[in-house]
Amino acid sequence: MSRPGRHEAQGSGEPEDGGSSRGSQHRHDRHDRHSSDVERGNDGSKERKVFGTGLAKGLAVTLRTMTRRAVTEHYPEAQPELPPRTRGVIGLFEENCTVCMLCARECPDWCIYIDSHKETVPPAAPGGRERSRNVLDRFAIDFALCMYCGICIEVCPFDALFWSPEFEYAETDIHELTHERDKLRAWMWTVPEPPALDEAAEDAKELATARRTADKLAAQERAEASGGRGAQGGDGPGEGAS
Amino acid sequence: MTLAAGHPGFLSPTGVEVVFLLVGLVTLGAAIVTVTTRQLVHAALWLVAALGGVAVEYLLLTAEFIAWVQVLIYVGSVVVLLLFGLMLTRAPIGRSPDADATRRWPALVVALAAAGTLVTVVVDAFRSTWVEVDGAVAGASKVTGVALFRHWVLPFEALSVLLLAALVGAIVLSRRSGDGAGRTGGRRADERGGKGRS
Amino acid sequence: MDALDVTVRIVAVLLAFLVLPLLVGQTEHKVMAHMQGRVGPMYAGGFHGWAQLVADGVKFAQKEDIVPAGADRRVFQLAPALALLPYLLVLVAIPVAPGGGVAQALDAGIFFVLAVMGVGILGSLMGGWASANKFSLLGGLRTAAQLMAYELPMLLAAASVAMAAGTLSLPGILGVWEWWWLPWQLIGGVVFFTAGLAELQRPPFDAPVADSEIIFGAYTEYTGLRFALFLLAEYAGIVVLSALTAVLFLGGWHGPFADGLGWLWTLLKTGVLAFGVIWLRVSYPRLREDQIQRLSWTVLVPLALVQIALTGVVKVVM
Repeated sequence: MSRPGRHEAQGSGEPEDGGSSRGSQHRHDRHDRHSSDVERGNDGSKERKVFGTGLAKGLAVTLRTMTRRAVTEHYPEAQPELPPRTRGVIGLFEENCTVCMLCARECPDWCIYIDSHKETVPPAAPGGRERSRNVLDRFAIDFALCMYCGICIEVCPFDALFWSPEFEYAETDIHELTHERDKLRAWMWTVPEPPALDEAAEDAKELATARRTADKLAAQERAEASGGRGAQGGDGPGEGAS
Repeated sequence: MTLAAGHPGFLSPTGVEVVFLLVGLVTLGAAIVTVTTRQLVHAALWLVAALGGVAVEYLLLTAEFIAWVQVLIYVGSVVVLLLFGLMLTRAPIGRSPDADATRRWPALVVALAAAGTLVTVVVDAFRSTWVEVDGAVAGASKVTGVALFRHWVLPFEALSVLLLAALVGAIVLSRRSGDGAGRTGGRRADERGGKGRS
Repeated sequence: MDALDVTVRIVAVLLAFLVLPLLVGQTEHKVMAHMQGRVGPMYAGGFHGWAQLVADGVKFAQKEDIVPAGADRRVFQLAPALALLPYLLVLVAIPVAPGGGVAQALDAGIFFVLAVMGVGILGSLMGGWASANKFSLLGGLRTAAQLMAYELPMLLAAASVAMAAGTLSLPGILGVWEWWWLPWQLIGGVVFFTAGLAELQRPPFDAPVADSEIIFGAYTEYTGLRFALFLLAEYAGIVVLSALTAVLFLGGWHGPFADGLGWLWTLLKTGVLAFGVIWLRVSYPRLREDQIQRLSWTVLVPLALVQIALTGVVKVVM
């Protein structure tokens, strides 16, 4: 009694689904196959279906699945292959941290603990004023509270926090889930390389700026060497590459 | 089957005869418990034991075919139907208060009369017939089939017609006769609803 | 038949009864898993979880045997045995190989087998009633309704084979079996197998134990070994049904080199059918109770009658 209704819903829902997932080639293919199935089904109901095709189809699906490889992950025996952006655990790169406290403030469930003290550093040039600097004493994340939203990583202005796919840090006591800076630092080394950019992608902003500066410098040097005014000409290719 | 003219008597029973008697006693006991127990479902289950005992008796008399049909029809289907009916209506665990029949004595008289008649008829019919248990199987399906469809074909067909009539009758009774029944059902539902509200 | 011969046969039947259902159960674990893109048990026994059912058995044996307070104790405790034993008895009558390859040849073998299989249902009924649980009672009711609906087509289909062979004895049927019986008795075979599935309450006919509606039907209140016995009965039922279908409709031991390898043919056909039972379970959704009843009375019974008519016509013409 509910089957025809469900079928209709599927029929009307499919094309929209396909439209939204047109970006990926794979999904696109699957959608095409499916929609042709639906059309065939409509034709069949108009004419007359051979009895048992549905039953046979069901059997075929299960048999086909049986001949394929199971999708099961054999986790304790074999480590899973996780995508580089997996939100496993948060690693800390201390050298970049300025104790600005942005992460601790933005954290929705207040699971980041930061202690620091001020130190004065001698002036850079003789006769100058002394500078003060924050020194990190404690950086801890309570993973019992953390909800892996990643806001701390997003807001960190100096790239001190990173996602790592590491996930085997279960504890038997909830209090031991508060991990200190040494542990967070150790996880930093498990952070994978960022995925390579597409062939046609623009360079990262930092790279582009650096290259432009380098190009400008090189052009200046060339201009000085030749004495002519080739700086404008040197800019051209640099922009084209970026 | 041979006539037992001075043939094996009852004084030196063979093993089969002893077993026959014992199974008979068990069957009788189960049957008595069936009608005396106060627990409805237990009565049905004791009926299984009684019917199974009868099947074993058939087997001991080498009537293999009849024995298995007995199990198939009575134990496998009739008792299941009985249990189904009990479960569908009312089958309390423990004693059923209304299982104690008030007309116990008339029932006993009728049962005794029926048993007396049957025993008299059977004893009279097979007074001196002897079943040779060790010899060729007297109740094999082939023998039974020949007897049924050659000598007793008319009663068999009459029974079939009777069963068919019962079947048709059951269907007619259980059929809802168009609008009339539907309306009564609706009215009854209304009544029930009214009671619930009041 | 001397004592040694009898002992050997009994031991063989007992061994088959203890091993084959476990084999089917393990196959179901693995086949079902792979049909769903999983791998199934992998640890017990080391190699691909081959000892999973042994481990299950040990687990069941360790569990506490609980009888609900409101239950009818004796009936409740007796039910699993009554559910399991009939299948052991049936195995006795199934011919495996030509020339006396059967534990006990029976004159009315078909009737014996079907009668005793029907008795097994009583176990579920008793369990369902005695549990003092409404879900169990519902399961028992559905079991009874299903049995009554499917006993008829099953008997009719079996009767068709008996008509064709002119005997009720299982070895006798195989003795006169010819290959063209395969298409001749095809409808009967399908009806018999389907009705058998329904009697075993296997999916898609598992409304009596439908776990999402009535927990586990008649077995809801059972624990430990008694529950294991019910499960064992289900798998023994699969073995018996597959073997019977193989003997009645697929020619049992017939096949190349039947004289020496007859038993292998029987086992092979039984195995293929058991695989089919598992396959059906994975592929099809559960039928509703009214659909189950309708399938039996409006499809299977008429089909079985058609098969009987066909058998009769061919038998008279030839």
